[in-house]
Amino acid sequence: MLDKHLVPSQTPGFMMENFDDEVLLYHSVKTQAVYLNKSAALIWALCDGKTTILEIEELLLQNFPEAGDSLAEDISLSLNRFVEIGALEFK
Amino acid sequence: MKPEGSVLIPFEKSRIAVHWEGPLAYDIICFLFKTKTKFQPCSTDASFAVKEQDGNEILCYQGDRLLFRGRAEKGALVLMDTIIHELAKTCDSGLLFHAAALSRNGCGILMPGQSGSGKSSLSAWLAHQGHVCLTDEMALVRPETFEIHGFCKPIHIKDPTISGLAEILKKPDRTGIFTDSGVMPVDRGFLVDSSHLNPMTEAGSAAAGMIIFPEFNHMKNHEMLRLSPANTGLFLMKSLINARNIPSHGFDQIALLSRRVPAYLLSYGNFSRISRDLDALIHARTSLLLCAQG
Repeated sequence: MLDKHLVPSQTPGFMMENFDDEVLLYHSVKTQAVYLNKSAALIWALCDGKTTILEIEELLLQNFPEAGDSLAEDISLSLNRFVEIGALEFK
Repeated sequence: MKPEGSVLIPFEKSRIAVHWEGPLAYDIICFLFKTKTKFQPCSTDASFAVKEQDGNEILCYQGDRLLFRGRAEKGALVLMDTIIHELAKTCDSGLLFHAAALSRNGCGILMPGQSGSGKSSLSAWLAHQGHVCLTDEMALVRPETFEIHGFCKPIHIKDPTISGLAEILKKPDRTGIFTDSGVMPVDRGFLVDSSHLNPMTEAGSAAAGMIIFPEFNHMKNHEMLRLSPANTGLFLMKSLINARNIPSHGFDQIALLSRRVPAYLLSYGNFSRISRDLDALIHARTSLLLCAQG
């Protein structure tokens, strides 16, 4: 479980292309492409090196109140996935 | 003394010289690369040699290194794969995909996919249905025009048992290592001259009008799923061969291609509905483009 006071920050080296709601990332050194669906793209955009995980949860809950209790879990899953692919670091 | 000579195999800016010795070696080169271009002294990216031995055996060299020694049916595949790899290595004039490519009524269809995805079998079937097969292995998309150029070679059918394919390959009579109808049995399946399947076939190009990602599986039912541009970009990046040779690894150009050209994931276990569905899509696409031009 990630500490909610951590500040996630996008790892440099990824090229990014926005396609409406979706995002495609590409790391030229690893030659790895990563697809982000709408919700993952939103979380990714909030990983700006300033916003804590707790603040990301609050922001998304304000905008998507219907997501309810599952939101925190979805965010945690997405952040862990970003870490796995080396797209995220924490401050 | 055996006859000998040299031919030049070009693809984009790359040139590979192949020296042949013996009529069998010459026939193999002509069959694999559809070239009878005699070698003119010029700088080449690599050189190969094929020498005929006794009893349908050949020796293949890459430079001075012995690449293969043994039966021609196996050597032909080794030689073709190695030469394609060499031609791809330095290509920087566009997005080079591990892909088949066809055209129908001027609409170019790019079919990227890994080995085993069924792109060659599908290419053979579609060629037999009247599509022009540009390549079943390596296709270049030019960044300015999105024109598809295929590397022309025989279609490599690894699984001729797929329903429908066996019929179009027939049971050819063998003469030496070739058959009477542009088919060469090899260790893993057949190499088929695409002009045997569709006499209209010729080396050429077509503007990209559609992208199909084939997924062959005996157990699957036919399904055609429209992909989002982001998903298209993901699949295209996975099939790009020459990322390291081109600016920003082709990422910007692939994003543009993904936005402009509609893409579909095609799951299939047989060919029963493919021609009809593809023709409907091509018709819709060409009508749309004509309206946009008008």
